[in-house]
Amino acid sequence: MSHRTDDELLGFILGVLNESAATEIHDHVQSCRDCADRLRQLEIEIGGLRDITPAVIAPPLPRRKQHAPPGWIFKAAALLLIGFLSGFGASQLTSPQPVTVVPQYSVPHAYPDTVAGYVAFQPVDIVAGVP
Amino acid sequence: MNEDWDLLARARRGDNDAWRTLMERHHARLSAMVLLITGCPDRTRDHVQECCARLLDMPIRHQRGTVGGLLTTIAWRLAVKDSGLRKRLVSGDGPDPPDPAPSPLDQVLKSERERWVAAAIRHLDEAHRHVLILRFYGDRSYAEIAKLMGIPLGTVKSRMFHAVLMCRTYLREKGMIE
Repeated sequence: MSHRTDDELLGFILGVLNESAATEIHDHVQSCRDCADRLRQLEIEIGGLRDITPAVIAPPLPRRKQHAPPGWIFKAAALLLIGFLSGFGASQLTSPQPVTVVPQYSVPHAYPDTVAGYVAFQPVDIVAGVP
Repeated sequence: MNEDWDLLARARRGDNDAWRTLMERHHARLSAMVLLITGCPDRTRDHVQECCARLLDMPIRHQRGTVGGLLTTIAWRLAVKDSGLRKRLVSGDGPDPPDPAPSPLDQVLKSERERWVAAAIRHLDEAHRHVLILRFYGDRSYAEIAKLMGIPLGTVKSRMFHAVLMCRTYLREKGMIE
């Protein structure tokens, strides 16, 4: 049985071989103890290349301002407030205009000779805004 | 890991524990990656800090991929950009004068073995070094490295193979491996 070279085993460990070559080496290593031992040794060597852990302190979580609502919300709220205040203020500043309401009834041919009938024929002033 | 995305979301809301867990998972390899590219501990700290700040502030439109992969991409681009800038700042055609001072990596790499491994990786030419660094310290697949570096997949695999061969040769010459 011929053994596999270091380069072949290295290629297998690194996963750079094509599928058929990788399968062939995998099958060989299952049955060849020397190559299996050499494979483990190479894995340890290559593992050493990824073992660097520098003594650099991780940054703390930066203090960040809380995520504020988007600016357009404030503008919209300001516009609503201004609109409300304008409407309310305007209603306070202008004097209410009286509205005259003349009730319409179907009137019997006779003139009203009762108080209720007399009242029903008088125009009524309704003043806006007065409860 | 999906869990990393949850941790990131919590960290963005100010959860220190979530941030600490994320850093425990990724900070060491990220620092190693940037250190091996820049060769300078101070710039490594700056780049890693910048990388973390960007991770916290950038809009996350989707959660395809991993937080680790995102960190790798951000950090690698920062480090590579910095390296390019440094090379443009150095002028002159003569050979590099021998540096009598200890390597700045010695400040942060405490074991002799780590220093030799770092020296072996730094000894590689840039084309091979970045592939090895992205694979071993960036945890990127060969396909992702190919996309990130803009080179064919076959080229990535070939460079990776030769990078490891050259590192082993260097370490063998220094007596670090048999």
